[in-house]
Amino acid sequence: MMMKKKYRDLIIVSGIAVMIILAAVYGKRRDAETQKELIEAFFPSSQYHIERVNGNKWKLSSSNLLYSGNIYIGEGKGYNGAVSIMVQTDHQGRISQLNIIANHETPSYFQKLKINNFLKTASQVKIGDYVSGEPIDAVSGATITSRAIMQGIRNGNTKGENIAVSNSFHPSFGILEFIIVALLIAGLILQVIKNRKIRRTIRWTSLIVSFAMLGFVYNQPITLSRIVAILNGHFPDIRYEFYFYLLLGGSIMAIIFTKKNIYCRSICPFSAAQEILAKTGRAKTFHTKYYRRLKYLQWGFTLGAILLALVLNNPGAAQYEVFGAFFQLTGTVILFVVLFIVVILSLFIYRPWCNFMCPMDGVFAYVRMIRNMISK
Amino acid sequence: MFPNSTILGPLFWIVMGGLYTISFTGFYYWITDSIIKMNWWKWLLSILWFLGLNITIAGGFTLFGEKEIRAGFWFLSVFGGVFIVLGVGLWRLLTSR
Amino acid sequence: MDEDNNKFNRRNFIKTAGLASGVIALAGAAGAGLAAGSNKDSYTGWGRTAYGEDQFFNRKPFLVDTPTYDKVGETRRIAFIEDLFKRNGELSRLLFPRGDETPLWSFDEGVEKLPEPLKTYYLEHPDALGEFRKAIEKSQEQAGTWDKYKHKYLLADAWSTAHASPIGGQGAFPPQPHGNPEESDFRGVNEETLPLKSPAHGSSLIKQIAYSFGASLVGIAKVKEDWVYQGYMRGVGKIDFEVPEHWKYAVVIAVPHEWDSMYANPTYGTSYDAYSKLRFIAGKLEVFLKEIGYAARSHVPPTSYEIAMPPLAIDAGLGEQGRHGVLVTPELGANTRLAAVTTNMLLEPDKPIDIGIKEFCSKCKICAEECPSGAISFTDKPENVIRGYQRWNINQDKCFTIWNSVATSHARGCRVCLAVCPYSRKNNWIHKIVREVDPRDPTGLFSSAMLAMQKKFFTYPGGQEYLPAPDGNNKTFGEAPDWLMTEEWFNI
Ligand code: SF4
Ligand code: SF4
Repeated sequence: MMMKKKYRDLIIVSGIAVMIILAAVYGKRRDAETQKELIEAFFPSSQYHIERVNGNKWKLSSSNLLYSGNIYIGEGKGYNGAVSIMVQTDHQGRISQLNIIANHETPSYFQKLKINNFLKTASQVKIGDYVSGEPIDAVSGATITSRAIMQGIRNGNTKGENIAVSNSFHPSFGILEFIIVALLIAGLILQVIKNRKIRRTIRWTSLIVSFAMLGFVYNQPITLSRIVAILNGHFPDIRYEFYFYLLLGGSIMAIIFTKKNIYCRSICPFSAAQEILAKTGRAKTFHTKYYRRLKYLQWGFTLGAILLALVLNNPGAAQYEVFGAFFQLTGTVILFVVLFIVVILSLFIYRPWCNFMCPMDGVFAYVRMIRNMISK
Repeated sequence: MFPNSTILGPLFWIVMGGLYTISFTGFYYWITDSIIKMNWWKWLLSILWFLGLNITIAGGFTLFGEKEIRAGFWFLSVFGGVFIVLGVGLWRLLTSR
Repeated sequence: MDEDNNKFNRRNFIKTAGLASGVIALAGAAGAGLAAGSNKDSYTGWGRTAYGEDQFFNRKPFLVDTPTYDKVGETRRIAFIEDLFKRNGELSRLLFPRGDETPLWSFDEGVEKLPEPLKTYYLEHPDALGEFRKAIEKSQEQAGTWDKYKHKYLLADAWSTAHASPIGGQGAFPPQPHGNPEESDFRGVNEETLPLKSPAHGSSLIKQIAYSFGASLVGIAKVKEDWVYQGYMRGVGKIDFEVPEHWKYAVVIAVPHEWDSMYANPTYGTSYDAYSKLRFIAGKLEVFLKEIGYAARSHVPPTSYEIAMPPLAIDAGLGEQGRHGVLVTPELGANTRLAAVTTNMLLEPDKPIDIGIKEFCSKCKICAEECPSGAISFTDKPENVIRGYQRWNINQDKCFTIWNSVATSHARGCRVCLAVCPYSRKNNWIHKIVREVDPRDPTGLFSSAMLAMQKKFFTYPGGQEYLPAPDGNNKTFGEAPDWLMTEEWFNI
């Protein structure tokens, strides 16, 4: 019997892993092809003569030879993965065109940049100015995406021209990182303390801190699209997003060493929101004999979303959480309708989102499954 | 309120005053007939809640009136949602103990 | 027994009626809100009464001794060539002289061949000349594509032209001054002057009169030399001059654009509605002052000024400068257009106010995001030092190029920045609450919350979208009023 269960787990764990790898590989290949076509689409051969210098630099001249300049192609690390930038400069290094040829960002961030005239502003600076840093201000609310664009410009230029840049590792340890460490420690303490009163105090303090800080101030819960980005090989830039490694790494470590999902229990800001709503309406746990099946449905949905996003090579496609809608009022209309229902349900049912909808539940369950398999 | 009349405006507010009085009296009877024990802060919270709900609705519709339809819907759904949550919380509070 | 029953029934009846009334009252609140929102009385400056009754913001708590602009260095007067219209006018006269004369200068001859002071100016501002060239190209494009839009915007254009009619040429009011200000401003002045009870009486009277002429806001300031242009004087020509003795005080007048058309900028709104109003108010005030025995000269839009208006209005306590360079007043927001009358009547000046607009602007940046030309700065704090004052500064030349690019019959403005500014709000209870609470909140939390709502709840098309195709889609910020939409009245 024991043997059998272990067998089954092994099949599930490896089956999922294989599916993810296949989807990722497929998505990558498709992306490479489309990218090549895209570049050609911007500079049709009827008008331009293009000559490849290296993987990041192309020489560009118009067919009548009146114009000459360069094209640089570089990648920046965006919120959900790479943002590829194509920069066209004249012979004096002035930017004449700035195009985003591929990205995986959440559309709302791009919308922000568009509204902000960001590309226009970014193209008013000489390309050389990007070598030493970020010559223009990042757009608030889309900081990572704007940084990614500037990074892409720099990247293409420095790699194309072989300019040496020091890319040293300086993880920033700010308030956010501090809060996350504190929350992780509190989550671990909760596992060992027996006294109910103290437990309650710690748990509620954590929840409220997370609700306010991770939720409203920083809006940085773990989201599925970031997980997909990582599965896709795009690790967030550790210099700016050290907190993310702390948060995800810490939560996974906790599962491995304590078997407990401390993230959902006391760190996730949206779980805090549901706990508060549950207190407000004195919600009851929803008992149903279909609980198991509903769980499989929830996890299956998550897996489906991950695979789809990998195939499309677009982590943003996997985002179906209502976190953004709740804390920052961003998202599609459907997400807002879902959010509205979830909020009202939370008043009467204990944590309906976590129990029946949240994709992170499946992700952590998968981690725990692997852990259990190995420990046995 | 009624751009082509000077009398309908005041009448409207008289009727509104009447409606608020009746609804308050009705609420008072409901409460005294039920097992709910009220005290001053419960009354205060209840009245504030109803007032807030009125203002939220009036606010949303003011935006509609300004032809800010999208803003009106946002206003109503965000603050309306908050008031539903507060309403449920208040109800639990009134019925507790 | 019977009585008891009755009582019980009455009680039950009221219980039900109470529930129903509660719901009806909510519907009533909705109706009242709807009415408040669409009420024409909320159109400050365009509502039922010229005196406005409840439109005024109580400035008392926000009076300050020093104006909110920051002096950081040696200050100087504004050379007339620094004014976009004067500068473009000079250039246009060279490029397109009257009649069939050959141009006196062309772009190919380069900056060096320009006469002074243009030469120095453009040498110091190398990008400005190219931008002007672009504006000319754009204006030709604009004239070419107007055919495509002239039906859609027929009413808007007609409305604008009607408002512009008292502004130019022979019949313009007020008539342009001629001769030295020492003659011109005294022409027709009543020789007999009655003793004024006090300067405060003077201020109060002049304000009443200006309101009666239709001014929405009136403030009084001492004329400060820094705000007076140098190098050109109406009625005289290009001369360097000292600020005339008798320009002691300035009565600063503000009116808004018609609100609905203003929100529907850039294509449906116009500058001329406010301009013509201002010209009538200031022109009449000039006559009035002369009739009671004081020298007077009106300074009116679009270009008939010797004084820069926004800083003068700040001195007069009307408002503060916004990120977009436009004066922001508590009552009208950025929908504030200005004129002034300088006089030697002894008046009591108003104090400047500080309602925290600079702090708000450093968070907001909506106008910079929406400006189709990218002329408005994104910096958190004002970084430019202009003639000794640290302030936000817009790129006038870029802005002008956009006037020549939007779908209007000719370059008659854009004004998107006025429309999108969260301060530009009509006068109904909801905006009134914000208007009154925000400046009293020292923490800035209230304004942050309001700003978040502003950005979330309202639709902003975004910079380029205000332009015609192919760059944009002729979007407007607000929906156009039906009385400016040709398709509502004519078959097109
Ligand atoms: S008028 Fe238009 S172009 Fe000029 S600053 Fe304002 S928004 Fe920008
Ligand atoms: S739109 Fe915002 S930043 Fe611009 S002037 Fe108005 S308040 Fe200031």
